[in-house]
Formats: sequence, structure tokens, C-alpha cells
Amino acid sequence: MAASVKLCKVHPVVFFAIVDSYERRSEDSRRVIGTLLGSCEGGVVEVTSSFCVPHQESEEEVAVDMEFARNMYDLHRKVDPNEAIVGWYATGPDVTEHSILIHDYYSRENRTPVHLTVDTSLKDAHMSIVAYTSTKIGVPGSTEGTLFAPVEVEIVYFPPEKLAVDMFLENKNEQGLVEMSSELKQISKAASNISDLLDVMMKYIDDVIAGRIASDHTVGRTLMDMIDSTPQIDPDKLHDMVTDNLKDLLMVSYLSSLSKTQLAIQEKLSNLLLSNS
Amino acid sequence: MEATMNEEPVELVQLDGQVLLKIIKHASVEDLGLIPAQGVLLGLMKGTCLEITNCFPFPRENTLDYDETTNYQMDMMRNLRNVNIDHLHVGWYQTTYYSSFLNKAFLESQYSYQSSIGEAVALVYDPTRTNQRDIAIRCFRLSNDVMESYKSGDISLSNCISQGISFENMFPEIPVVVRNSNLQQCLIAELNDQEITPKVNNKDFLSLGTSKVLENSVRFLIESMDQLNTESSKYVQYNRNVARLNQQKMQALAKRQLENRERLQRGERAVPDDDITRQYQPPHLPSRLDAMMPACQINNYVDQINDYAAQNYGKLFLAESVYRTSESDQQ
Repeated sequence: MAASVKLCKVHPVVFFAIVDSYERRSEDSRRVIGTLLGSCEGGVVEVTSSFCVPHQESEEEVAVDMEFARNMYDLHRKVDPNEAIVGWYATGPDVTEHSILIHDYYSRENRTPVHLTVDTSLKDAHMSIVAYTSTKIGVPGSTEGTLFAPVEVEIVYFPPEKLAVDMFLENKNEQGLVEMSSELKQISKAASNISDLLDVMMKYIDDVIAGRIASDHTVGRTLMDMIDSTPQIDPDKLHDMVTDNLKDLLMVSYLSSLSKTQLAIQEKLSNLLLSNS
Repeated sequence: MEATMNEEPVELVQLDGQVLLKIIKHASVEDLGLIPAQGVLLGLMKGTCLEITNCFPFPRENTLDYDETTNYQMDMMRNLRNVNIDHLHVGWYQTTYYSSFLNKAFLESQYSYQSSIGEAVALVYDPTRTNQRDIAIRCFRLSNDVMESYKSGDISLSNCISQGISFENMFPEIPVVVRNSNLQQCLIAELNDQEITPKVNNKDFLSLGTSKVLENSVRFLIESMDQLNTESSKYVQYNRNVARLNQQKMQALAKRQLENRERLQRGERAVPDDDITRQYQPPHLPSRLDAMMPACQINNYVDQINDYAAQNYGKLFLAESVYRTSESDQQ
């Protein structure tokens, strides 16, 4: 028996690529399909990359350009030899009969391919993301069918990916474009974040004390842990540490500005020398 | 695409969110070390704004030779064209380590791209600086003056001054914005809903441990300084050599003239001076470019250190004021 897939971890870059390929689909196709690449270990599939595969789909038949798919996979493998085909994706809300055929194609590459659907038609005002694996059902020898059983999808991030996605959400300017924020703005944002979190906490504590919310021991203990973890430092020592750190930074920034001035002087001097000689 | 050399062909670079994520993924997956991970950018020009809509990574250099790399590129672009992805080459990207990317290789790559495609840009992504709250992605081009000088091969000092090229304006930086289509905004909202884990990065961002980053930045700065130092001593050496050579040449010429006068007196033909001039060839002029690259790099490092320091002042003052208020509350 092939190992069954219990969990499907997907990186956000895959979703973005899927949405982008949906937006670029040719006029007559209603949905796009493509290959998912990644790694599979135990029952956990981690999808790190994807590419779109052209296909034609009509009421009766479906045609997938497998040659293209194989070609692209080879090209991708040149960059990262560890990536393997782990499944395929389709946009659209449902799994159709044609999906079974396509799933069969992919079963030749990987024994248990994962089928990921991303609902770009936004049914129920929600872009639902579901992953399926297929199992055979029915009575052996007589009618048999394939069941697409849903698998849990978990979104995993490399830390910079998380930063990027958060940034997409927060840093929008007037035209809806995302800008890189300056350093001090980041600090003020981080500070206001913490201030908001503290407000939420304070409100909760007030509510518990006033009896409006039932007290919860685990939350109380975590709060205690948190307060205990702030180090008790003698205020003079703290002041010393802060000034030391400040002095280090000032020194480094002074030295680096000095080197910049040195460069400018060097340029001026060599220009002067040349114009004189 | 012909190279159109208008005044400022690219004033803004607009990335698709997808491109940024792909670059991040490539950088995270490849084992960085000091070999940069590189790839190609695809997109379109729209007025003065360069839209970058897709990208694909290059395989590592030691696995493929030159022919295979071009084939790979051609195949990739052909396949992407089949799925309606923009297949126009608009630049390249590179990852870097503490922003130490300004070297000759970078200049040459950007030059070759920019000479064939006028609007080519170089995107540089620095994963080491992205551990804080910001994605360190910057975009550079070569200024037109540098392009022309490099093409003509004349990078001497006099040329640089007449063109106004200095280390400050060799690589003009272009602002970068990120754009996400409406459907992708829905996706982002969906992703945001799904994850329940709190934002992990905040915890690390406000930490006050600055020594590692500072140390590394200063170390790189020192290396570049050393390079610059060697270059300038080479130049001084060259000048000294030229002076000495000229002196020797003068002496030899004078001696030859004396000889010639004696010969004329004796009625023989004068010996020409050509062989002397040929013998005392001036030494090779050290390339101005070699000296300017470390200067550019140092400039870059310095700006970064100053930005980093500014950010940390803010953090320190914040921490101090928080402690102060908590202290005064306790008393």
C-alpha cells in the first residue's frame, strides 16, 4: 500500500503563482491546471513550487500537454534537483470528472499525487483552498470509482515569506501599491503593535477581575510567566548598558561616515591632480 | 528590443508579489554561502515604469556550462510563452550577503544586459538584512555615462572627470514598489485568515542585540577599504614608475643626441631615436574601474550601517523609556 498523505504543507509562493496563471489563462479556458513540485516525507507533502501546464477542456474530453509538463519539470530540476512532482493543481470550486483523468496522468509520475484546488471564482465570497488525494472505492470486480478525499492543508512560510505577505497586507499606499517602509516607520509600527497587544491583554485582565469573563488558569499562568521573564535590572545598570550600546552604534556610524568623507576627499584630490598636471 | 537611450528610461520598478516571493524562495532554498543565487526577470515596460511580472532562477554555474545555460534559458522562455506569461527579458536578479554585491562581475553582467536591453535592471535581494522587518530588495541600473565609457573601453581618470562619473552616481538606484492584482489581494486576505500563529517576527525585531550585524558590516567595510587601499597604492606606484621611466628616457635621449652630434661631426648618419622610445614603454595604466568599485561598495556599506544604526537608536530609546516608566511606576 502506498503511504497515504495525511497533511499537505504549501508555501504561499505556490498560491500566488496559481492565481497569476489563472489571470493569464487564454480566453476560452475556464480553469487552469498545473504541476506541483516539492518533497514528500512520511505522510507529509511539502509543496514549494509550481508551474502552469496548458490544457484544453471541453464537455466531452480533456487534453493535457504532458510533453510540456515533462519539459518544464526537467528544467526545474536543473535548478533544484531535490524537487519532485508531488501532485497537481486546478483552479475552480469543484472537482470535475475530467479531474479524474488528469489525476491518472499524474499518478504515473507519483504514486499518491495530491490534487489542490484553489477557488478563484470566489464562491461564497471565499477563496477556498482544498487538497485531495484519491482512493479507489466500490466493489472490486464490479463498479469501481475514485473518491477524492480531502486532506488538511497547512500554510508554511520561510520567515522572509511571512514578512513579505504581511508587508503586502499592511504597507499599502494610496494607489494600492506596496512600498518598502523606512526604518523608523518600522519601529513605530512595531511599537504600536505591541501597544495594541498590551491593550488587548489589559482589557482581558480587567474583564476577568470584574468577573465579566470566567478566569482561565492556563492563561493566568502564561501571564505570570511573561511578567516573570522581564529581567529585573538595577536602573543604573540599565542606563549604563543602554549608553554602552548607544556609544558603540555612534562610534561605528562615526567611523563609517568618516570613511565616506575620506572617499570624497580622495576623489577631489585626484581630480585636482589631473587638472593640474 | 533596441536599446533606447532616453534620459531616464526607468523611473520606477513595479514588482508583482509573486516575483518577490519566488526570489525569496530561491534564496531560502539554495545554500547561499558566498555564491549568489541568480535568475532572470521577465516583464514589460509601461511608460517610465518597468513592470516585472515573473522570474525564473538560474541553475548553479558549476552544474551547467555556457551552452546549456543558454539552452535552459531559451527553453524556459519558450515554455512560459505557451502559458501566456510575459517572456520579455527585462533584467536579472541576484542575492547577496550583507550587501557585498558591488564587484566587477556585477558590473559586467549589468553592462551586458543593459547594452542589449536598454531598460534592463538588476534586482538585489539581501536575505541577511531581511531578518528584521523589511524585505531588503533594491534595484540598480548603470548610468548612461558609465555605459558609454565601458563600451569605449576608455575608463581613464580624465574620461571619468569629463563625463562626471564618480563612485556616487555609477549605480543609480531605482525605487521599487510591489503590486498585487485584486484576485491576489483576495488570496492574501484568505492566507491571513487561515493562519492562527501570531506574527513571530515582531519578537525578534525589537531585540537589542546589535553586535552580530554591526560586526559583520564593519568587517566587510574593512575588506573593501583594504581593496581600495591596494588600488590607490597601485596608482601611486604607477605614477612613480612613469616619472622614473620618463627620467631615464630623457637621459637616454640626451645621450643619444650627444652621440648623434659626434657622428655628424665625423660625417656619419644620425641614428634615429625610435629604438629608445620603443625601449622605454610606459607601464600599464591601472584601471580606474578597479579603484571605483571598492569605493562604490564602501559607499553602500556606509549608508547601510548608518541606516541600521539609526534604527537601533530608536529601539534603544524605546527600551529605555519603557524601563523608566516601569521603574517610576514601581516606586
